[in-house]
Amino acid sequence: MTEDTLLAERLAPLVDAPAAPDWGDVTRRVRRARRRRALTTALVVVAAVVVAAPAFGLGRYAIDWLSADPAPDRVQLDFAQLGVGAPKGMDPGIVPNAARKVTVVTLSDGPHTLWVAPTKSGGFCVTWTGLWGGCRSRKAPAALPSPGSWDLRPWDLGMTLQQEHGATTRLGGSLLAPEAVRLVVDYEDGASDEIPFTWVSPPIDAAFYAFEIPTEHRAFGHRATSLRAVDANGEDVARASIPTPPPDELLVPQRLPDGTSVFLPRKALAAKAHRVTQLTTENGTHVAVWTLPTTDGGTCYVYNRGSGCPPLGYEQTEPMAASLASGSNPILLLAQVTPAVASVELRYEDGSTGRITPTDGFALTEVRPEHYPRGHRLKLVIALDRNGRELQRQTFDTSSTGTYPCEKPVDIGKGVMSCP
Amino acid sequence: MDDRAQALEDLYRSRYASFQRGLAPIVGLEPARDVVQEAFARAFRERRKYRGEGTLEAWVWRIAFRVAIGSRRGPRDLDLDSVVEVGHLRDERDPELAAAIRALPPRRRLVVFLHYFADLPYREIAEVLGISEGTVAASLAQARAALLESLVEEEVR
Repeated sequence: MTEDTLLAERLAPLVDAPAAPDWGDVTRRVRRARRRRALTTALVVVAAVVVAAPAFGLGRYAIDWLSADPAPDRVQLDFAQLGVGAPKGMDPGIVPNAARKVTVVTLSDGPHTLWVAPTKSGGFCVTWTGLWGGCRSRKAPAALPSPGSWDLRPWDLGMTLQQEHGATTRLGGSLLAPEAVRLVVDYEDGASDEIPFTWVSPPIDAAFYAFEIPTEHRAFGHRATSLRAVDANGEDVARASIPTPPPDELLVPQRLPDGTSVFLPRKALAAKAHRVTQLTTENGTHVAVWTLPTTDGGTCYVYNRGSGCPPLGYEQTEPMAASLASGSNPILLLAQVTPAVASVELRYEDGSTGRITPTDGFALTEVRPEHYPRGHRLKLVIALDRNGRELQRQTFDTSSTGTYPCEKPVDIGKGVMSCP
Repeated sequence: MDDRAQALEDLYRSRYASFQRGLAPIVGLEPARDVVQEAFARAFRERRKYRGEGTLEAWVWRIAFRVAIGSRRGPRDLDLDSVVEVGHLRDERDPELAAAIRALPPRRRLVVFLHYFADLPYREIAEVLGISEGTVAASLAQARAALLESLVEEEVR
């Protein structure tokens, strides 16, 4: 051990582990600043206030959709951009010019406005300024995982969570259960809080909420555990669990044997990591896949663009699960394969092919820059056994935008700049 | 998302912890989180201003230092001899080493933090602080000698 390594090891515990990263917060700050700047430049003061009348009792408010203020152009543009570049079949079909302002909720960092726009299929899209946004249909997709034994009508209780150090700090979403008169968040210590929500009349026909968990309920033993929608008789009409990871599953910075710093669950033993496979990409990036044992007898893996810790007892049923780490150079293909897979064949749009041999269940390769342009992209990956017999094939969408880097992003619609 | 935006996101995800630990001596560990968030938000908004002179990371570090200095109550200039706070050190985990860090001159302490807690190589520390690589190497060598001395004394006792 060199003096430098010795010192590094002794110094590390002197500073507490940093908080978990939150890129969403960075992008929200970017948007907030842009809006502040736009307002200052135009000297426009938006003073519209939605008056929400208490309608059914404490915590529940009602808004007449047709009386709500129409959204300004910039909000309509935000909604229009939501559908741009969506993969095939994923365009939510927003009607941006029908967007309206629904309510304003004040959290610890100030007021947040809820804008809602209907979709052509009867659903809706929402944007909470400075918080989150998204779209949902009224009908649960067929692929929705079956609810746990405790959850009830989970699709009707949309929930977005912000978590820090394993505890929920904010939650918000929409509710599709008109019979609900109360929305309740329960805590580990048996306490609960009532969450105010705003019901919006048809065609939206849904309720919305955003809530900040009190500080005293962000500590272990006191965290939020579930959200329930309750009817006038006190019966749950919808409920959903809130994840409360145990301390050893919290992400903490750890150092791999080669000195690389990574975020992994506390239970992952980084010092015992084993380098499974590695490569150097065309632009000189060193990429390595590591596997690590965990304190509970499981295994995690980590590489430059992601990591995972399958639950104990998990067994891969499909021969291959391949994913493309895309968006920026280098583009990497990582496939997790079962022992039956002897090689993985890559097929590109231009007819060229490649083949990789897995090591200890992982096949890693770079999709090289000559395959970035349309007509040359990776379209198919095939898992083969030792006799060359096909075990499984996985296709990749070569037409979606933003997957492959380019020299100059172009306007793909509504001012959204992306690589075609 | 354009290439530069993606590169910033990648940098944030891979180096977040280093940024927070490296900025802690200027504002404290908890406030450093807010500084990192704000620094990346500014870098994202101003990413077209990055001319490719030096690494993207060093450019973000410079922004982060400006944000950190701006958030302090005291003087608003980056005076390397006065900026370093060590209130966030967990002395109880290694009292001798913590005391040795506190005994370092502030500038040397900052270089130690950037190297050991933020994992920055000499060249980037030099770029970020606007000093020569040689000065970084010399500061680090002197700091390392002092810190190792404290460890040796501890073992002798």
